[in-house]
Amino acid sequence: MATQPLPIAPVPLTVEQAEAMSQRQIKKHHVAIMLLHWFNAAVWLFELATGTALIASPYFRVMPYWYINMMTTLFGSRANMLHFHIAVGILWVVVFLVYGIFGFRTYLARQILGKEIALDRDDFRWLSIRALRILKKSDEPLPPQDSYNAGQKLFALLVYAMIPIIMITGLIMAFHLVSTAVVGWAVVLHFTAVGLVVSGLMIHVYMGAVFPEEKPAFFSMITGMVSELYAYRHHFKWWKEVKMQEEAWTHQFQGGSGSTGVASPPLGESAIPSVAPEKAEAKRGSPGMFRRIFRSPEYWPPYVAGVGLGLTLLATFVLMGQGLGASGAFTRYLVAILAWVAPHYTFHSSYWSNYIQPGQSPLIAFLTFEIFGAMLGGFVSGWLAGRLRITVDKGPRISRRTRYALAIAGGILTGYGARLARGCTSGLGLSGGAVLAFGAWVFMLGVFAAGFGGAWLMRRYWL
Amino acid sequence: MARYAMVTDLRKCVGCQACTVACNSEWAVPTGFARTHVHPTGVAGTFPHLVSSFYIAQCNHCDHPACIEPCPTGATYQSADGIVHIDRDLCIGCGYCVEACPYDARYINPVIKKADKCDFCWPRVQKGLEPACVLTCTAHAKFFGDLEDQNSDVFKMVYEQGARRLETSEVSIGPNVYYLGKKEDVDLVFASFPPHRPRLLRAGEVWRRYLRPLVLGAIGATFLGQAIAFFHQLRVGEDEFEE
Amino acid sequence: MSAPYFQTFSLTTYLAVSLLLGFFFGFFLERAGFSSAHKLTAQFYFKDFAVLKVMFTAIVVAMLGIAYLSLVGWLDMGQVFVPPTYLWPQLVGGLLLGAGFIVGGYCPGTSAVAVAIGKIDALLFALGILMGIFLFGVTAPRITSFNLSGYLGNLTIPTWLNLNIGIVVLAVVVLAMVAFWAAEKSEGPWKVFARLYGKPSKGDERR
Repeated sequence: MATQPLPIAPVPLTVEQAEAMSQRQIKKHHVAIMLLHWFNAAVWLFELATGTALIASPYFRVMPYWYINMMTTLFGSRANMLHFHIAVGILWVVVFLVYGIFGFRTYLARQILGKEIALDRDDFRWLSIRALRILKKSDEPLPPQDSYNAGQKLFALLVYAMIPIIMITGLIMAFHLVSTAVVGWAVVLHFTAVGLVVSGLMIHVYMGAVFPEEKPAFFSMITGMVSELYAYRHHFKWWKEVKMQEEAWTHQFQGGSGSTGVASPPLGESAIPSVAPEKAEAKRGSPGMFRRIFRSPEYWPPYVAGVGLGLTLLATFVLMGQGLGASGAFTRYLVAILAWVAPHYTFHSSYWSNYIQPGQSPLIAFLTFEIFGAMLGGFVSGWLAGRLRITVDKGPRISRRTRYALAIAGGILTGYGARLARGCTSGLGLSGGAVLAFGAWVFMLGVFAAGFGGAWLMRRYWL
Repeated sequence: MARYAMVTDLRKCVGCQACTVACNSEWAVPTGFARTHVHPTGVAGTFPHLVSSFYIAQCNHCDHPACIEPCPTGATYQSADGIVHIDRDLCIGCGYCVEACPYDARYINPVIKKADKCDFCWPRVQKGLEPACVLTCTAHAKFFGDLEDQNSDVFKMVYEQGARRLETSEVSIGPNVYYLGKKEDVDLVFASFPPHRPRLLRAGEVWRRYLRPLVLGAIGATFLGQAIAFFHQLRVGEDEFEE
Repeated sequence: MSAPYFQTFSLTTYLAVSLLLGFFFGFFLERAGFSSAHKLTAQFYFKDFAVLKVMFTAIVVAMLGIAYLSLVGWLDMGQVFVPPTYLWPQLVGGLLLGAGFIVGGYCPGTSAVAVAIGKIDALLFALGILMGIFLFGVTAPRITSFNLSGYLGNLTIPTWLNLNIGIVVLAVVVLAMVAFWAAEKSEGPWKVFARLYGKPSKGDERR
């Protein structure tokens, strides 16, 4: 095999070829893109639901009054609904900014966009034939398509053009920016841009959710994979590229083709470009999303974990009126022990008695339960990642005993410092930092200064 | 239900601006703006038949307000007692209502960046107090009350003494600030400060003429297109992509 | 009804919510790798700035959320606890905690999480914390004047600088971005670690 040249257009497949190809999965979407897609979908759902209900004036109104009233009742007041609309919108802007900044080279660089959304001649022909075929006015075969077909490209172009307009005009309206005249224009531009996206969105949703031939495209947004047969039939150009990369890979490492098996239409060896093997590797299948996110032994990227921690902190402020903490919990545990061992001393100490209220254990408090929860959370996370192990974390040059002594010494310094500062890295640094408390930032300055300074002195013990 | 109105007795008004000051301090109106302001007409007529009077600019709480329709968010609304309110939580400061008001009673408050205007001192009225301007009027020229209460001052002035609304044949939206006085005084005020037709911001004009048809056309076309496709799908049956 | 909500909770709800919030706290700390003293201290050797990145990201996210929610009136800042400033004890406390951090390898919150996944050194560190706190409780009456020095009330940075809160929030975001940039550069192209400490000794690469 592998003697025929590369087919220019899809050739008819034998039944057994088609059968085998339908079994093989090709990776179509990266997890990040799928998450972004569904995040975006949720945002559009929420924003359209509230946005259309917010437009109440006879002049601009698009939805019937019963809908507007229903939504208003749902949110309690129109002001709440507007705040929700703005909050979701801002979250959307922030997420897309992060995507744009960190994903620029991967997703938004010119050559990648050019390939994913620029229309070529095949695409224009595809559009007209597609329309005719839906109307059953033509039997002409569809021209081969890239990883996104011409319709998807058109929609992407529309969305890429409109999203910045929606975001900027939204921010202008939300915060009454620039001037009254600008806000006045922002209103109509916001409506127009959203309206145009909605017109495309209707087709997008219809194609994805209702149109039978594109079902695999819908599922690829959930699993990240499409069957090779679908890729072959609907995205032939893209299929060809993937195949060529695979071929190049096997060619380089096994001295010939073979992994593509019987079922794939043959590819000419002359068509094999020199592709780096890692790239082909990247196209290969990957474990499920849950496994990858929660079961992988890799730590999460710090920014992702940071956002999670930040949202937890925000929720804590909203629910409890204070931030997260740790040293306060340790203090309460200690007071509970002291009160049990030496009640008279504890109750009459000017310091410990601060933590004791008559008739209540010092353990009945937010912090003590929170730290207990933190240990549970840490345990679950470590268990999922396979990190549960009785071990000692130490530098390579020191003995365990040295490490134990250092741990206790460090703990004493930390405990003393935390009480003196009235909080630790979490309770003062993180929580105080988020409410911009002056002392918290001074404290953090001290922590980092001592940390970086002490690191030099401690290098023998850690490196 | 009440139907609130205000009457200015031009026979008594001396144009002292005490009402303006009271209103500005009551509602923290930024310098250079006013919810109510007294405009002198200047002197008209020929000696010895000279006429001079005052126009009180403020929200008229019209029966058919021109400011509600263009407000995109519904921040401007009219309660059943006729008072036109602005919900500050909803206002985005777009200025459509400012442009629409035939009496130029609205302004964009530069501090809060939202529309603002007279609300007949609704928070005071709720507590049973008179509006600040009425209370403070040095000449007792301003009256506030319920037109559906036959014993109120305003009822008598409007229905028995013939107080008039500032309307023209072009702009007749039922303002609820009335003027009482000698016919030549009232005529002079009406001639000097006629209401203008409700205006629309250029942005709104463009929306109505070009953008709205564009959006509706696009949505309509795609809807039609996929409706046709969907009926075809129903008619010929689904040919599911075979795996 | 505006936040915070803790006054509306029954005791059981209050403690359950505490537990749940703590669960996520610990979960994200562990996910970030803060259950490892090696990962935590790598920060101070310019090898891995995860501590800085996670903390600053969390502060920025929470700060933006709090600023926004209080701006729209959902969160009543009058009921939110703002840690009071005691300038000198907090500076010295920070230095002591930083020293304890680099000596012992953890801070209080992270040691709890590290104990949960079985780190013996973290357990000893936690015991050390209890001892340190005990020491403080015993010595507190003797250092009262220092312990209370530099008291500035619930001072926040916007009040201190007499600036609009929006400007301070923006400044913190910019500061965070600069810090992230510098952290990425320090880990990578600037080779700060190699310049300061030379090559890592053998066996260092294992966790």
